[in-house]
Amino acid sequence: MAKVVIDGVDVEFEAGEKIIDVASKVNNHIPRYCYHEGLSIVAQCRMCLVEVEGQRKLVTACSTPCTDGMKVSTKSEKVKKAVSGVQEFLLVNHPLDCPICDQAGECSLQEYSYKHGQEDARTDFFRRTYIDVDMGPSIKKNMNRCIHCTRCIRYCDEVGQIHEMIAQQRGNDTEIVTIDGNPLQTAYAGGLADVCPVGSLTTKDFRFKKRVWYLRSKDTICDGCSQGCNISASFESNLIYRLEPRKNMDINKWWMCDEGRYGFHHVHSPSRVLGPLIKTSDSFESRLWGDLIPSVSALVQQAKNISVVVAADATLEEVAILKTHFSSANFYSYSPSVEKTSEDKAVDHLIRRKDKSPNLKGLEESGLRPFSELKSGSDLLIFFNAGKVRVPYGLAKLAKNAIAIGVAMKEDLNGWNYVLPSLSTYEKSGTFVNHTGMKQKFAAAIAPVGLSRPLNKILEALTKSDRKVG
Amino acid sequence: MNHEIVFSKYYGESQTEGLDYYKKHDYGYNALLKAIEMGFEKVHQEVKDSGLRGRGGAGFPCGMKWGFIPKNTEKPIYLVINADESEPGTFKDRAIMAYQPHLMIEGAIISAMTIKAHMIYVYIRGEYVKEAKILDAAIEEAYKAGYLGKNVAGTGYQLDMVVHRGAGAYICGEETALLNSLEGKRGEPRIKPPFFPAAIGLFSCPTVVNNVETLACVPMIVSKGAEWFRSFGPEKNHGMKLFCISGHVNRPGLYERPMGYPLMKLIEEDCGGIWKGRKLKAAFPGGSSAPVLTAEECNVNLDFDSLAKAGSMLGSAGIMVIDDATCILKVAIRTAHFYQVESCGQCTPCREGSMWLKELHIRLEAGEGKVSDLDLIEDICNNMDGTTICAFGEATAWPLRSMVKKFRSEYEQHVVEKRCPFEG
Ligand SMILES: Cc1cc2nc3c(=O)[nH]c(=O)nc-3n(C[C@H](O)[C@H](O)[C@H](O)COP(=O)(O)O)c2cc1C
Ligand code: SF4
Ligand code: SF4
Ligand code: SF4
Ligand code: FES
Repeated sequence: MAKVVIDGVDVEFEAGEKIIDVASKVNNHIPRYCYHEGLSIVAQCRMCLVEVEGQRKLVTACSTPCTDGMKVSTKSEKVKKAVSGVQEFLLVNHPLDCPICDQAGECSLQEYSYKHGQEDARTDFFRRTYIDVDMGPSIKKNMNRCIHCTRCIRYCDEVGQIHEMIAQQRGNDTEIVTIDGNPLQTAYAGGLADVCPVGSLTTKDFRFKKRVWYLRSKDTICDGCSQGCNISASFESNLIYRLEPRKNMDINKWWMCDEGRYGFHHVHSPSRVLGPLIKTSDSFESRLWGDLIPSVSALVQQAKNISVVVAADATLEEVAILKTHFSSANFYSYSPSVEKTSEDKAVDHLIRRKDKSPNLKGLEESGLRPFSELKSGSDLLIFFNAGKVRVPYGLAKLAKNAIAIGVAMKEDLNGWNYVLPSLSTYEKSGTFVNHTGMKQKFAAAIAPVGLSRPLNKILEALTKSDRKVG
Repeated sequence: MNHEIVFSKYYGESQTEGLDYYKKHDYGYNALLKAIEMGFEKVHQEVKDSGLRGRGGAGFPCGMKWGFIPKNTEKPIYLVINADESEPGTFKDRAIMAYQPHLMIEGAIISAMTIKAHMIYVYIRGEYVKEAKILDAAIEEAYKAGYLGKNVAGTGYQLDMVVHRGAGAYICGEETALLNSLEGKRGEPRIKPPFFPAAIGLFSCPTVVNNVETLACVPMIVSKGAEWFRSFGPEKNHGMKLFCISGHVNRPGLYERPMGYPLMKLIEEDCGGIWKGRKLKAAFPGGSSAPVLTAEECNVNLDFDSLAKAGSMLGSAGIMVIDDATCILKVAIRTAHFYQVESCGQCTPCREGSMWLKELHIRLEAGEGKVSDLDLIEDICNNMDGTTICAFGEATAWPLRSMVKKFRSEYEQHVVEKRCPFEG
């Protein structure tokens, strides 16, 4: 295999591979702003300049393909001087308002300033200023911080595939705008905040909510549709603040949609039922688990025929638990958007799917029948969900008695005898099967919220003599 | 020094732009007929042998450039004429297009047939409204006379030619920005690799971009031969050349002289010396992108290699002469301002550096600068030099660095006196 020598280290490469990626293979991180693996190459920021033996001028590592025997230096004096020059140029007009910037702590400009910048500022002129601009429901722009890398423009063109962001004017007056100032149309606008290397484009959802160094994050799977995008959830004090995509070349590449990105707010919604409820004559009353279990248990035991409706945001493990516990019951799957996976399809060119639940495929493979086959009139209907699929309106009326286990909203209580709070996707571990049949395991990001309990603990309590929910 | 007027015979006269006039007084498409007779491989060889170097600025050998077009490509091949002429102090292509448009068209037809292009685009500077109209009319005449269209001069070769007007951006003279602009995109230079025009040019097809004057040399080379062309100018710098002189001389204007003509002779003899009895202070020999020459350094010959040796460049041959009553910092401000507003803004060093440089020069000229600003200017120029996508970065850095280096004491005087010494 062909080899390049980067800072004295031999590295193998495949034809066409660029220096920047080949260097990454040996943990040699070449600084970059405009380059993004998932976007076309423009080599505009000039931050990735490296020296190639035999070439008079420095070349950009992001755009220069390796050739066999090429000798690259990423740390020569000439490179250091040029790179620190580029870094300085970027700061000539930068407001350096890190203390009030959401990107601070995960900002490329900050990071490279430490690594490649100069200690003192040599400029004392007024800086370019613009006012903040609203770019639609998802994104707010602070043009003062923009470093003109054009990742956002390419993201809209190439990922969102809507030509809606452009560079206006030229040179020093260049401003990144949406065409005619229109709100962004793309269903992937939130990704602009991911690709923007600085704090210029931020999501309104996360803006000013939390300094990122307080956040921890855990890998998980988006439960917003049957695609199963790989994501991470950032949280602090058991509160989730944001979701971000994780690279998975087989599923979502580097991206996720806005619906998925902002689709965690039910977890901490003030409407979420966070303690067990029992229906009274005219309302619902809260009970402690221990007080409620005997009557729930009795209701289950009296029922001659039971229907269990499992929302397709349940995990494979939960389906198995339900099937073991209610071994003689009839099981149905429920997704709000499709009846069966055969009706599922892509809804755009990228990743969004019609089936707005993450595990219908898994439920079908576990032998659950389609929801349309559910007949009314059973003694007891048990509904289980994780909150991404909402408790269906009117479902409780299909049986004499009805118990909802899972994540319910206060508006959804009508008709249920008992509402037993269980976990959202972020509070549990488990496995989803995405639309292509790929099994994806994930772990809990946060601990159970309120009095919510895992399904297995709730079901175990129903049969235990001490009636305790573990 | 061998000398023959080949371009500017009738510049300044009226109604010279028609086909009839061109037939009576110039090559009259006989060079095209000769080229057809010779065969285009021979034409290519002749152009190579002539040593013709591009007149757009870089002086790249024309015949060699044509040779980069891939053989047996299935894609269409394009010839694009760079008539954007926006380099400060440059007005030679304008004269060719205004007074002898058919010379350029004939040269373009021969060149297109040599590289097997069937389409010629002329990208003309937006402000050249009159010249664009003249070109349009001349192209129409050429179509009617059968030199363009489905059957060029009875050969069965199809060739079309279209004029496209720019929208007022200097950077669209850079050949890859020009191609982007022609495609309807933002006028931003492309990265090379991969976008070498000969391989991936206009609409991703093989493309040759040549300057107006370069192509206007082709009919005479075909007609009179490579040997004749080589009889002008020193080795590797051949041909007659249009020099644009502006600034503080008594007779500014367009002068046709052989390559290698002495700059001082041009200033002193041809242009009648420096105006108002003043002395020469400095000159840009090749547009504002060329490093400035001090009065002593002006003892240089006007050709690519001599000027390169003198640390400057022939560029667009736009010679701007500066007298000794002029504040060099004012010249620098004007230069920096031009590059600030004309930078396309893609590259960080160019976008930010040009603006920073302008601010520093304004401050210095006003007497509010610091001595350390001089080193800072030099360092900013160093950081722009060789770090950008296109040569615009150097075009900004080189002249500004040359001014602060060569006129450092004048810069310092501004700082020490806290005012411009040239203001009463
Ligand atoms: C910033 C910049 C501006 C340029 N402007 C012009 C121009 O106005 N006209 C021109 O012919 N070439 C211009 N050039 C040079 C072209 O890129 C290109 O080299 C030339 O058109 C090639 O033609 P030639 O080989 O016939 O000289 C410019 C180059 C740069 C970097
Ligand atoms: S807004 Fe962000 S992504 Fe867009 S050009 Fe500016 S810095 Fe780059
Ligand atoms: S495409 Fe689906 S899985 Fe991916 S982020 Fe959007 S909702 Fe979540
Ligand atoms: S050097 Fe300047 S003009 Fe050239 S591409 Fe870069 S920013 Fe644009
Ligand atoms: S990362 Fe290579 S030029 Fe921007």
